Amino acid sequence: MVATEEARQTVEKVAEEYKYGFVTEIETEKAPKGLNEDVIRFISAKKNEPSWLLEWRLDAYQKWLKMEEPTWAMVDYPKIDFQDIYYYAAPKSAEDGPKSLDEVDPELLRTYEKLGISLKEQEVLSGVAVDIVFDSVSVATTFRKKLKEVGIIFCSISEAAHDYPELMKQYLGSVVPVTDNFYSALNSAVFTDGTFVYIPKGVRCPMELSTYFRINEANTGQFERTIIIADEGSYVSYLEGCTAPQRDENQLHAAVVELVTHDDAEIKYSTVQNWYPGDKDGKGGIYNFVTKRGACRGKNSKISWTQVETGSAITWKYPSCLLIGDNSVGEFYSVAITNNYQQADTGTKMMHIGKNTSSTIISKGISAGHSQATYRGLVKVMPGAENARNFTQCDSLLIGDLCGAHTVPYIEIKNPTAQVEHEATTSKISDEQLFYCLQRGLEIEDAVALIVNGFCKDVMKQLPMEFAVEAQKLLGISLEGSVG
Amino acid sequence: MTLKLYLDNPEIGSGFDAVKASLPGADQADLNQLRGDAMTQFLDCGIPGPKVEEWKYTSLNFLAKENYAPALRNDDQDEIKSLFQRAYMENIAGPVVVFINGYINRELSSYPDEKGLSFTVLSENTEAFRAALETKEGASALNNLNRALATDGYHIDISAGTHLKQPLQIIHIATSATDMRSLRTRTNIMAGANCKAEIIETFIGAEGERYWGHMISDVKLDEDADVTIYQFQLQGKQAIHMMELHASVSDRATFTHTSLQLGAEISRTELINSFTGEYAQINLRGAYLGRVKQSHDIFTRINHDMPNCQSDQLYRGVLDEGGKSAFQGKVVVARDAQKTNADQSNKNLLLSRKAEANSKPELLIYADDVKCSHGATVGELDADQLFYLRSRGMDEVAAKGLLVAAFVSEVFDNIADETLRTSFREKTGDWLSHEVTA
Repeated sequence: MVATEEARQTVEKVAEEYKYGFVTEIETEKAPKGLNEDVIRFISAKKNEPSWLLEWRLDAYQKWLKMEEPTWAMVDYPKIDFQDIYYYAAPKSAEDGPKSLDEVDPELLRTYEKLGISLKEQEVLSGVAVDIVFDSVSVATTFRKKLKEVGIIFCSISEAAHDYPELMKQYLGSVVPVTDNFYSALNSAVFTDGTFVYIPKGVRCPMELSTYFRINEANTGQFERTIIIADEGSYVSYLEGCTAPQRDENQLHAAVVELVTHDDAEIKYSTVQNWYPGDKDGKGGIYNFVTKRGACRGKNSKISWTQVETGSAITWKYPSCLLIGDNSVGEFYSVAITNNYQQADTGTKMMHIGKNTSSTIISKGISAGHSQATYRGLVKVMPGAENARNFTQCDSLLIGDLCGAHTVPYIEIKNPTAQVEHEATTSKISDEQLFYCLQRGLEIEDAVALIVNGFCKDVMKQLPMEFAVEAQKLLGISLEGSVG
Repeated sequence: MTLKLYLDNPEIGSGFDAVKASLPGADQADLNQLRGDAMTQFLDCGIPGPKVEEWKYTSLNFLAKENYAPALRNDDQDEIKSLFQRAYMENIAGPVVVFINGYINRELSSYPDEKGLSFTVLSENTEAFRAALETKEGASALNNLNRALATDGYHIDISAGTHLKQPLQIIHIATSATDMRSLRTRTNIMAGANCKAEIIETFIGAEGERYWGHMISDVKLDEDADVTIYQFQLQGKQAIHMMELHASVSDRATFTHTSLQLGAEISRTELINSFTGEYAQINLRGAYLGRVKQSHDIFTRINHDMPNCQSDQLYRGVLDEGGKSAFQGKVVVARDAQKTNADQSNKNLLLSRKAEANSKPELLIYADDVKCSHGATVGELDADQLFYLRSRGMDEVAAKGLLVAAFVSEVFDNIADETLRTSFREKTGDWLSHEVTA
């Protein structure tokens, strides 16, 4: 959020000009509990969607009804009652929030402080109804203006359905089909929010795009749908999430992200996920079932996923790349930290389809407390994928003797010109390293954070600057209480 | 929408009813009872379908359509003789035991006669047969099928402190009278404390027949025991070869399994190992070479339930035109198994466009003070190495052969007995030279 400082100043200026901002209609209505066709019609009506989208949702719902929950991941959680969930709730109004920082959970404030978040931003993050409304609407407006000048479309998925129906029809569900898996079908039926980005030919997006700046992002959507299209020769870097801890009353999250790159285009997608992981005894916490996939459709195109996963009680997430275009490149850099009773089953899929495609996978898993972290990945080289290259490295670090670290790679090669390498190690923080740090006067928690940061360096250096500094601090905080 | 996990084939049940009266030991009520129970358990569970993770790379769909009745005894001396000669390693001194179509053959066998070693053929000893057919908790579907229909096998007891002077050769032969039939045997090896033993097993069969060779082994090593099993899989081109081995390894014991897969259309080697004591070691090594419709599946599991143990896996695959392979290795380190060292290495060489290699080396780790690693690679021959050899005047075929042989030979480096090591290398070489002529 360092870069937002500048943005905030702009905002304050702009806020005076646009005193009322562009506040979208907020109703505190909730759809009735449970899921049926009426709820889907309700959501679609609320979003004022065109009829083709409603039909698409209803079709997805019918397909979802016939599907079964996947059970292959190494995560253990009580059965989800899908009829006991609200699928639509309008964002809370500001009055419901705490009146000042004094009313906010001190634990949360302490974390903000450690992350170096300014007081003002702390208020916003914890939902305090501040006097001078820090209006994200205005930020977005200035940013959108700038983007519009170069022809970039950056809006919510609902707006896109209205304003750019042709693009939406063309790309929605084109990378992650409705029936891809149980949760993608569910998302297709009920998605309520998300981002749509289109970068036109030859445009290099002038700034890092982030959900943080987008309208209506007061509440992170429970069923988000993100589509990013990079047309020929374009480039965009997209940031998702935020290092600050996020509390959300919705326990189930099932997002879908679809990326498409055409010839010579590149998308860099970075995620920092720090949703509520549950308390020390494993009570509560978010269930995060995400389907993320990028299709490198064009020649020489590139998709790079970077993720730092520290939150959520359950993480089920496999950002993947379909390397269809010749010479296309897929990358996956991941740090997954689990502590207390968290469980993370995450990894990637690299499907080599075009010629001369290459992929890199670097995954670092750190487990502490009673947690379980699993890397699950697939590298597949199809018969036509001449000269495919893959390098995979998965390292796991165990902190404490009650946690688990697992590596489940699948390597499926059908072309002799492929060169595929996979290596994995599992170890603990060595006593020598710890002793060395302690001897030089570091506190044990700082020493662990230092060692863990070193362990994750290959991934952290892939993060955009804005994220990198805070993400490093986040690693330390996530592991608090795991040593000593 | 969802595929059924397990498949049914009612013919297997009725086929069993038709043959059970003629199975060895059919006059013993308790053996019949055990076989009947095993068949019931198999039918209750069914045949693992393609959606069962363990069978992801080897399809058992044929089993849902076909029934493989137990093979019949055969005495075509000429054929047996020629197969035996191909399998028997005469330069390795020691006893040899021959099973033909799943039944013991006394003429070709010379039972071991060494102090401290008790060798029993199941069909000649009801007690041992009963023990081999005993219900096993958590047995796989195919293990139960084997229990119901096993025709023979052997039981070895090595008493404490016995060091066998000579390796024991076991040869399993399938003659051409086995089309659409199964050869099911069982093996029990009980290795007493501080004993040392080597067993060489060779599986060989008639080329044109579609038969199913199916063996289940149970190996138990007491403290400080050292047991090595070598396996040569030279089954016929149309054959199905399945081998399931369970090993339990006690304090300071060492179990080593080295295999070479050359034959069969579908081969599956399943090695399930557990440590029951500390400071023990398990070594699993193997090479699989496949071409033309061949599919080799190596499935290993090592349960590190005890601390201070070590496991080492080394597998090399060479796949040519139409060959397919899978290596699925799983290492599970339990919570208390501190100071575990586990390593898995799987490298594959693809020689042709229509070859396929799959690898799934899994690590599941619940203890923190461990050193576990795995590596897997798939690729083609290194162009630079090939160029080096060619530039020194070697023709392409010879150069390729040399590089492939070198790639595979690592698996056999640790074999102490030179004759045996050479034998592994020669058999690999035979396969490679076939490639050249083909």
